[in-house]
Amino acid sequence: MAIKGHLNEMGLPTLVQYACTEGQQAALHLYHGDQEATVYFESGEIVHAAYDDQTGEEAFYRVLQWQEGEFTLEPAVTAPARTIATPWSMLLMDGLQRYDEETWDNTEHQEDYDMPENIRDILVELGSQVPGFIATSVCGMDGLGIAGFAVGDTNVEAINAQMTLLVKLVDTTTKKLGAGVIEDHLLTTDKAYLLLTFLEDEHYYLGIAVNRNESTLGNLRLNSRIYSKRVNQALPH
Amino acid sequence: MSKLEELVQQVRSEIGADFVSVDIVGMDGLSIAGMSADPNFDGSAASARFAMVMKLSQQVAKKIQMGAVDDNLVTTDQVYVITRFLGDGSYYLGLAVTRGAVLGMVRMVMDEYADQIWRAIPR
Repeated sequence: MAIKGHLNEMGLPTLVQYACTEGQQAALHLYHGDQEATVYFESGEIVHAAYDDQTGEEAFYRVLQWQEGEFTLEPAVTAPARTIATPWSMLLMDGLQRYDEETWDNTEHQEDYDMPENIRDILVELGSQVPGFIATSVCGMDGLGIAGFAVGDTNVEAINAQMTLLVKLVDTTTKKLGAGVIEDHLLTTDKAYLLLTFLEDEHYYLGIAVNRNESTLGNLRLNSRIYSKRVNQALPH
Repeated sequence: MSKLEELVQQVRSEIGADFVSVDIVGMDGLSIAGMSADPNFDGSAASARFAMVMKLSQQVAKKIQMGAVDDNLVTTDQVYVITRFLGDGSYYLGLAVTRGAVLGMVRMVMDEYADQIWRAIPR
């Protein structure tokens, strides 16, 4: 059965995330004013996108910016072509980064400041205070980190991208259920604790990953609260 | 009363006044047992939506090489929501409590009942 809705209630990133994690074969029809586009899914990946006279990644990137309009997710539709081979999570992150850069370019607030350096100093200090420390970052809800610090060869960018996808779904879930405004999210695995604490404006979060065997949850939450406040003060408002 | 319903009732009793809801949910998003302190609480919607969270958390943990997921704890300005995998991961236990609850105790209750609930699920 097809799923229908409005893009201002369920955005394209969330729809992509849903269709891909469910491993659906489907066509997502998008309607934005008098414009139409379709994104096709197969086996948990985006395989084709068509908009106007464009196909492939470029078509996907263009419709990713639509925040108004309607959608229909039609199951069991085979893609008419295969124009996309990039993993969906990468495609989503690249698309959101493009959107972010375009938005930034179109505003007049570009100025030099040393914010990332200051925040990185705070994160380095955090790393020295938390037992079992693996990595930390201050990350936007677009999945892009503005500052990070890690031990060893930990891939902070990958953690940022993946954990942002997860916390966005958690955020949508709590809002839809009327369970309040999310303050933090802790993912516990057999190896690690990953704690994401939202910062004041809710567009950024402080993420901390620690080795589960070398840390305690109380200490982690305490340090997260302390350093969230310091990062909040360092962020430009 | 089935064994599962008994265990769900026991979890509620252990949590006391801070209890909001508890559900035992298959990874298809369907609850097989549960109860809520709020008659207006939509347990089926919560079960389905948090099943998606649990699925995505498994994929995320795998991609960033952080091991196998045990649980998710979400803190909002109103509640704590803990969702924890049971047994082989085909079910999860979801528990919501007020912010007044003692988090350490809530996690302890989850630890205590997880194995018992897994064993009580009919197969």
